[in-house]
Amino acid sequence: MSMIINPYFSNVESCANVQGLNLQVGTGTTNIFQYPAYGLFNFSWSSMIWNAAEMAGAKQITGIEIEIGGYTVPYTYNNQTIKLAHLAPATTTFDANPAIDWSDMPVSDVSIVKTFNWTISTSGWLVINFDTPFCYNGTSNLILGWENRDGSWTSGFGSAESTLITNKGAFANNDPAFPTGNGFRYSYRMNIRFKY
Amino acid sequence: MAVDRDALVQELEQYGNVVFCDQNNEISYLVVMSDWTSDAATFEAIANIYIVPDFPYLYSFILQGGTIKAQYNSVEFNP
Repeated sequence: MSMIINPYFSNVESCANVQGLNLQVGTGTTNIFQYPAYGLFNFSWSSMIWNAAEMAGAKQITGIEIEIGGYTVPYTYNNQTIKLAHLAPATTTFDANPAIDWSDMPVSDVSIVKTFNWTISTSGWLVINFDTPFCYNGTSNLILGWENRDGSWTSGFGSAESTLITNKGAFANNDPAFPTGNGFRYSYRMNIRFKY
Repeated sequence: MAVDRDALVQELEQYGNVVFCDQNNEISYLVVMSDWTSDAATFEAIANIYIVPDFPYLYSFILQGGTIKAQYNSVEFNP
């Protein structure tokens, strides 16, 4: 696990919108095709957990950056949804058969922060600004869900640079409908920068 | 040595329709089949001849309702 905190405003402990900062978690170089969406399938889901300690205090999360590579650009995923929620502090990992609807997780404040058609035009750190910021409380863990409801697949897809970390990731893929029930627990988590 | 795509397609077409059979990106090779009439072992036997020498790691495989989606990679990712 690696954290890089912007040194200029490292004591922000509220949900105030301070803008312009980022918190990076993860510097791994493993290419995970299931994150955040898996282009081989018509529908896919991924989810990841960050501990409160990694989140370094309360903050209004206004977007994320993720590290993407291997795509034939431009490549578009239609009908994407990103959700964030607080996760009870005692729950730090997914169980063996994680529920896609988080029904097995003690989540609260579940929020859809972004719905969009995602066009990947380059490799590297890609910015996704939220439609609705998420007020992270600084004490819970944070859980992210990414729903790929494109409904079709095409070749030329790539992957997200990810970091090995035990049981903090999950994914599911399906044709011909969005997956339901349980996915697979995974010990990788995509590298991310939380914008706040 | 590159995957002999023409020979691979010819083998696969004995058991179904080839929807896609080609390199996906620098490190992955995909096969998507419809109306597959045989089993997973048959597919794997064909893949072992034509794909695995260049893309040795089976990253993802599904056989559902006669549809096969398979991704082979040239590097290993999983722990």
